Amino acid sequence: MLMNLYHEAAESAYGELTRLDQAAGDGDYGDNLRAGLRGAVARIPPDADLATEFETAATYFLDEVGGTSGPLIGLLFNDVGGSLDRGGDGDDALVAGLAAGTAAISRVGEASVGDRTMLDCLGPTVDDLRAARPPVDWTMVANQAFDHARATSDLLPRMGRASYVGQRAVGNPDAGAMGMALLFWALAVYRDPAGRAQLPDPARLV
Amino acid sequence: MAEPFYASKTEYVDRALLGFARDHADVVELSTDPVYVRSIDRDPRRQVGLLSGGGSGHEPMHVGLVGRGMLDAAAPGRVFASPHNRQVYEGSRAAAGPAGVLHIVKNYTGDRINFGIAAERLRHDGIPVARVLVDDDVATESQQTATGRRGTGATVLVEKLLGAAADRGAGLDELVALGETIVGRSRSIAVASLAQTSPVTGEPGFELEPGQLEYGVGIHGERAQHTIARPSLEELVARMVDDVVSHLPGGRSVLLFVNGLGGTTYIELYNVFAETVDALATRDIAVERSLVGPYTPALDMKGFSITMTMLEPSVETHPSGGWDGLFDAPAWTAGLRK
Repeated sequence: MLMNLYHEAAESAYGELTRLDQAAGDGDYGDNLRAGLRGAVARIPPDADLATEFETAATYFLDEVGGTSGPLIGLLFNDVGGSLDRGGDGDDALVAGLAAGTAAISRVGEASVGDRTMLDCLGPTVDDLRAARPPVDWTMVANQAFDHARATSDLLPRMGRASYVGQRAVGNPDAGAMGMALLFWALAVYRDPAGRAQLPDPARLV
Repeated sequence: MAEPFYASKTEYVDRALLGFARDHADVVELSTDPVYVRSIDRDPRRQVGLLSGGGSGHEPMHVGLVGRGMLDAAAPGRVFASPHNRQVYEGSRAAAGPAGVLHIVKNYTGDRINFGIAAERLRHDGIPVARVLVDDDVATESQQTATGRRGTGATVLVEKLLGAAADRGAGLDELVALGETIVGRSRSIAVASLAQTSPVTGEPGFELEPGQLEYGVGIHGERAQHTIARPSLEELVARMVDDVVSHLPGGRSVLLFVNGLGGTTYIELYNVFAETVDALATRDIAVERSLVGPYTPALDMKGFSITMTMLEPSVETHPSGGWDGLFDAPAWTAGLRK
């Protein structure tokens, strides 16, 4: 199950995500992501297809998870679930759903790539996916997603709570962007379990 | 120390909503999970449902503005905190008309994001949704941030005027255009002489020396950028009128709203109103319609705000466009049937 893998990654990365968010915000990002994935996994039926996994997780993140990031992740899942529901669980529908969800987060958060948010991983990674020739090499995409997330270290926060600390956030990557890289880690392991050894260890993000 | 009269330290907003819904059971009904208030009656011509919401502590805004001719639903958050997106989402599903639902949102980051998430969920369900963002507070105009002006008293005027337009059968695009016109022609400024009482500690939200005023105060207990020595009311009102008028488009007639911030008596508010009418007259601006009362308070803050909507030459916002229409919302029956 994909959400089991994402949950596993979020548990491993919990300490690091919390440390990153404490450096720039209120430190609850790791808690919200972990709690959201725990709750989602508990609600997903054992025989669920990928669309049902995303749709169930979407409802839980939208309705139950606190902070701003939780419901925004719910929006992403909502669009991915809807796209898979309409177009099957192949890569085309998955990429279309990720692109739609990324656009929704940008609309709602009124943020763009470069503002040091989760979009700084999602936006460029979706671009990578759209540019890739089929079949998608998910292991390579996930490694690129980690690179994009790490590159937020150099960015000055303009939106979100980190904007209140300004320059002091620079030097560490954005926790929200790292949380999205972990989603691509989970997608890579889900699509290609054999590639796991070529992926970063979620417990050692930075 | 003046501890508020709450039945519980944690559930006081819910308790108040229960009491409110009991008191006005002929006009509204309360949903408790998630929390929103809904009108039980609407004009059959209305095609688009109107929903607003925001932090509690500004009553009667917004739940008191729910009713026939006004809002179809309101989503109240905790005191001074945005409602959860689920309140807005479920409230919107209940409020939506055949042509969708319009969100009237005050310009605060939390409100924008939570209403925005709800709007995405509604679109996902195939329900047409749009937003009118209210940002009228001139005290926050000059700040070098991306957040923009705060939304304050003009929200009440927008809700009334859009309610009338919705009852004429206006569609979503028409309501958005009218709402943006009204917002663009509305500005406010607020002052306070005493902070609100914190619901948690029972202490004042901030300390102010006697003889001083917070000039440009917000409605969430945050301090103003300026603390000034207290002038006469005539001088104070003249300064406020100039600040507001200088941020409005030109015109000769206004809708004037003198709002109490919660700890201000009607005697004080009508003193302010009379001074404001005179100050406008010397600037050759007529008060075409008016509203006086604590419609957008900040708990029990002692202070007031002045909001003006420039009416002419915009036909859409002229009183004939909706101010005098009939309505039946709890907070308005006394204040506006004239």
